[in-house]
Amino acid sequence: MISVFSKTTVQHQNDMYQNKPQRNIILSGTIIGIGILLLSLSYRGLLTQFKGLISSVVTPLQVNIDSIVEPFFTDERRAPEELINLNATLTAENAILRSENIRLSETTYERDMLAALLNFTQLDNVHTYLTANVIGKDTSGFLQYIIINIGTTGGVQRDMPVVTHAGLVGIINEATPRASKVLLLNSGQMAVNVKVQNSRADGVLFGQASKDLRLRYIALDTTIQSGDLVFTSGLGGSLPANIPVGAIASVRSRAYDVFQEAEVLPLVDLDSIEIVMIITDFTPTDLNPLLSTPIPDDL
Amino acid sequence: MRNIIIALLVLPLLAILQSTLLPYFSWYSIFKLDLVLVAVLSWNLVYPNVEGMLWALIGGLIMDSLSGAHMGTSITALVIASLIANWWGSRIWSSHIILRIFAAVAGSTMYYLVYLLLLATTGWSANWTDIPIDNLLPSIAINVMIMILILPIVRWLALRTTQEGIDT
Repeated sequence: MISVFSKTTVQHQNDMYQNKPQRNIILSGTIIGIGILLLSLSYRGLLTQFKGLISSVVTPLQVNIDSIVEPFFTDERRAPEELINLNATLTAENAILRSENIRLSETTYERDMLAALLNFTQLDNVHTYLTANVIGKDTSGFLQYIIINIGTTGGVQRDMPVVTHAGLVGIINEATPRASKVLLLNSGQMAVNVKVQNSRADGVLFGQASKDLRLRYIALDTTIQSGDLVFTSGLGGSLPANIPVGAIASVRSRAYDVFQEAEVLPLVDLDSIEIVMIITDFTPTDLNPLLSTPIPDDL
Repeated sequence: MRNIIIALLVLPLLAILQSTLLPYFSWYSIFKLDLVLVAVLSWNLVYPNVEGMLWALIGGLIMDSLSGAHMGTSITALVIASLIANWWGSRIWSSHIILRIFAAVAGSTMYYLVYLLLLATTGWSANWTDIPIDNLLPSIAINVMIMILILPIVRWLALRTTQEGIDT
């Protein structure tokens, strides 16, 4: 039996070695060509429907596998359904209360300003949320994305902000009919305009692959310290104002620098998100038309 | 043809497990096991046939659809890595375990280098000084370890699925 198997194995190997390497090279070249073509088309945003097609096949499998796997790693299997529902309700309420709390703090600050400034218009900060389950994470170890189980058919659109009860998670980067990809706050591609609550200092928060975030472009003459809460400023129009983002962990301020920097720890544990909320009533402002406005010659 | 059907069944399942199951394990935050890469390279090592390239295409397609990277990134990286494994696997001296480990390291390294290069060309920025220690070394180590462990199973599967062709 062993000798037969060995003979078969040898025959098998011989069979394999008889493959013409030219065929491999031609096929490999063709597939690499296809890969680069797809890359180019995807970069130009022309493969959304194609990705949506694959996603429509993969997402149901992903949802089912996630629903099988998740109970083994969470406390859900031990918690009665009533408690789960209560937890979901309280989480949503907590998110609203947190948002309300920040809004009230801001209102107090703005009331003081209104005493000095007339014709001030306060923006309404109460949002509409859509709850989604995280069904997967990016298959690459280098990119920071999560996949959620609601897509365009559920009302999700690209660039919508994604939060949890604790604070900002990221933005919708890609939406297919049944699933969406969320670009996380700690991605190298993320930059968020933020404000430090106590000092009112504006800055830009950059994502990093590590867990902490880097706050840059804080003027040297403003005082910021560890523990200060950082939240979205709304500048740039890509995110609504007053969403909590993180807390300052350390400050780096040197006299010879133009700006000071800070390390910020996100309020949301981005490694273990299970449920997120999408802010659906916020429309990002496209500033590009303003940026490209030509300057009149007579100025 | 049977190999392609196996690829169509196994690779999407592995990609989905990589996306849904593995992130629950605490070690995964450091050791990013790439199940699809492991499967494709293993197949190319034990069955260095032209169909191995189609495994790379199918694996890459499904990986890209579950990733934020642009479509085509994983496909290109996987095919180039598979070429190395395929060439190595077709050498008569390649069955030695040490040489297979070397091939697995070479294939994994090539995959990540091409993948990162393509990410960089499409505007992805990273702290390049940290990537080799924080990402590449742990990922390559776990991939190679698992690849060596599953090679006998993949070999058995390859022999089973190609039996008809051998016996005739």
